[in-house]
Amino acid sequence: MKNLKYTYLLILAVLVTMSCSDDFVDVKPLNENSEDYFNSEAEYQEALIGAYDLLQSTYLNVMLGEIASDNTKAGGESANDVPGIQQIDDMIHTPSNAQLRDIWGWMFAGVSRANYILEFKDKINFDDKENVLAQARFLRAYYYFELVKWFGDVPLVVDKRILFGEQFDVDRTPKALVYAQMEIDLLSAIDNLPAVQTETGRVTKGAAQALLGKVYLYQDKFIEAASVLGTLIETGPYDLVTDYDTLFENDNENNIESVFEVQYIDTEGAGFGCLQCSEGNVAVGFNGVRNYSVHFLNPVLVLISQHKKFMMLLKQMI
Amino acid sequence: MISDEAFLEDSSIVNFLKLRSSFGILGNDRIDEFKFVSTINGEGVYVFDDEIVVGSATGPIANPEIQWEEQRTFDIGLETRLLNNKINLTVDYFNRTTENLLLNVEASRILGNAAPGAGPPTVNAGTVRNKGLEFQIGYIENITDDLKFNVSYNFTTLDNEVLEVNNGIGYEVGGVFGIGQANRPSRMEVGQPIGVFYGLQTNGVFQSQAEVDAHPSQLALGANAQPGDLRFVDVNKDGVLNEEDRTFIGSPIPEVTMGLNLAVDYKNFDFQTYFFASIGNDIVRNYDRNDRITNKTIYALERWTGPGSTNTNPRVTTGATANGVFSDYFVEDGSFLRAQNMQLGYTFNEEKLNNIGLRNIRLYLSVSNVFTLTEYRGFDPTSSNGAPIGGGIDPGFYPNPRTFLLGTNVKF
Repeated sequence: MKNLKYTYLLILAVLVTMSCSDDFVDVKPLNENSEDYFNSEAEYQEALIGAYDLLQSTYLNVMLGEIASDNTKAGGESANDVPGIQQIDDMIHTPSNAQLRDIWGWMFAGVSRANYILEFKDKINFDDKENVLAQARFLRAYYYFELVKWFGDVPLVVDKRILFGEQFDVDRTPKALVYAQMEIDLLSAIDNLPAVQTETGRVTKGAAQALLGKVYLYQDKFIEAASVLGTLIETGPYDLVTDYDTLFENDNENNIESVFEVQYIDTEGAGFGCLQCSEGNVAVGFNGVRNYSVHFLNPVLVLISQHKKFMMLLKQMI
Repeated sequence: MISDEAFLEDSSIVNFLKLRSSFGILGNDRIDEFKFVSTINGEGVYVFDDEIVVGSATGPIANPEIQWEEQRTFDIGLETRLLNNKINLTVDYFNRTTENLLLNVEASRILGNAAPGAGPPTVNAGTVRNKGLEFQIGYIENITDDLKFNVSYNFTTLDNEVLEVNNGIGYEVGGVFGIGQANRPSRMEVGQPIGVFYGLQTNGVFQSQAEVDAHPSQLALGANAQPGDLRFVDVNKDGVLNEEDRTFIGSPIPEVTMGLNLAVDYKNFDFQTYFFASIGNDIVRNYDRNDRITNKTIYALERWTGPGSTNTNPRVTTGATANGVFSDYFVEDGSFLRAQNMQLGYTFNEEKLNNIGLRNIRLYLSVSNVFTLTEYRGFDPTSSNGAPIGGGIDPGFYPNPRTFLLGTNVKF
């Protein structure tokens, strides 16, 4: 009896001394917390690929820009196919336009991913870091340039992601200030990017100079534009291709004339549910011949005949 | 337990009578985990050197303010059995208020939620109240030794209302209609049932150019109207038709649902059937396609062909029109009655079977989805993806098949 009592006491004592901590309620998510990322060069490089990813969605910027012009008609399976595209062709679009909303959302997704890297720019050091950060700065400037061209004044947030809840407090920034930020980013990128990258498709010093030149041009800063574009022509490793006929052929991608080129691949497409997820160029699927594609972006006859004339002239000149 | 009271103890009519009531608060465990923390589970893929390179990115937008959803349910009911327990009857009133309803909702895309592998946040969207009446009655009778039957019928009324929306603008949006239409067809808005359809109201078809000219311009909807096009209502009376004229045009939530079970046994035959009905729910037809080479639905035969031909269906054209903009033209009454199942069986006499070493053989023919009575012009009035905001929209789901089953049960 007495023994039993001691046994109970012993068990009690063990229980008391082993009183547990709160660790078991502090379960970690299966995926890495984004606040605890950027612990190695590899993680910076991977996040940078994520920031490049949205470049592929700019097929829509090119396509809609052309449709807005008188070079092309909207096309599609009928005059009602994708109302947002048809309305831009007819210049009767309203603020509720699914395609404009896509451009807005995709370019801001690019901004957000570039900002994510720059938010953690001081976390660790490694040899290639300045190159990585310069690429991120170029990408942020690229996406913001698109946003300003399409929407004018846009919310400008730098070196941090906008967290949920903060979106109501972010106002539109006058586009002059957004341009100023692009200039800062691109000047820094020019200083830190190599003239040639080891991998085709990564942005280079020349790409940053070319983009800065365009950013200047859009602000009518012609002297600055002439200066940076002049430097690019004189010092960049670029030249014109000898045969213009082959310039836009598949085999001539990333040729000596190409300063910056968005990279696509034909092995992985996407569904309508996530066109921005495609690694292939969605424009190819959208803008080709009917029954092979969705048949948007039909060139007008005048454009075709002018192009023929231009090619004839070019041949005579050579 | 009222039937235990002295005044009912010996009643030959009321065998059992019980008053019951309950109140409870429940959480919701059908939610994804870690919605409050931003994690590296997005898609970051690009191409370098003509090869796919896989990077990383953040996933759906995190909501650090996320809280439990709370369901407060109040229920009061009567349960009774009458006439030698032949009739059972249950009546319940319920009132369930869901606070901090958890939903994935649209959010400003400056958050980066349109990125590959990202997505909108899960938020505590607001408060929704469901109240209604549940009624169930059953009757069991053995008329003779050979004829028995058992019938039960139930109905539930449902009144759903959004009491509060937490996002500051007063409504959430959801659902998809058509291809590339920017405005979402469904809403969660205070004073309306959740998932209410929000679109343009129509008022017939323009019969002549004079009618078109007398009406506000519809150009802002996508094209100038022509005779044969839908005439939309200028709801806000500003002299122009645009998206500001959208209004509430239907609800995917039924007012009443009911079910009927019937079982009859006669000698060696047995028969069971189940009927189900849904009344007062609207459904959106969302599968009309406007290409030259695609099939048309049969109501294209009743299209507008000239003045006076019809005031219901617009002309059929591949030219530019605003007829495809989401409007009550696409909203139909989705009420239906469906014979869900019927089964007829025959059981062979045991004595004869015992001679050949079997205990029991039953042959039966079972038919499911026997027929559906509905005014809905689409394939299947039960088509819905079930989303709280965006449900009741029929993108041409493959309809339920009718199945015939001929079977035998054998017991050795």
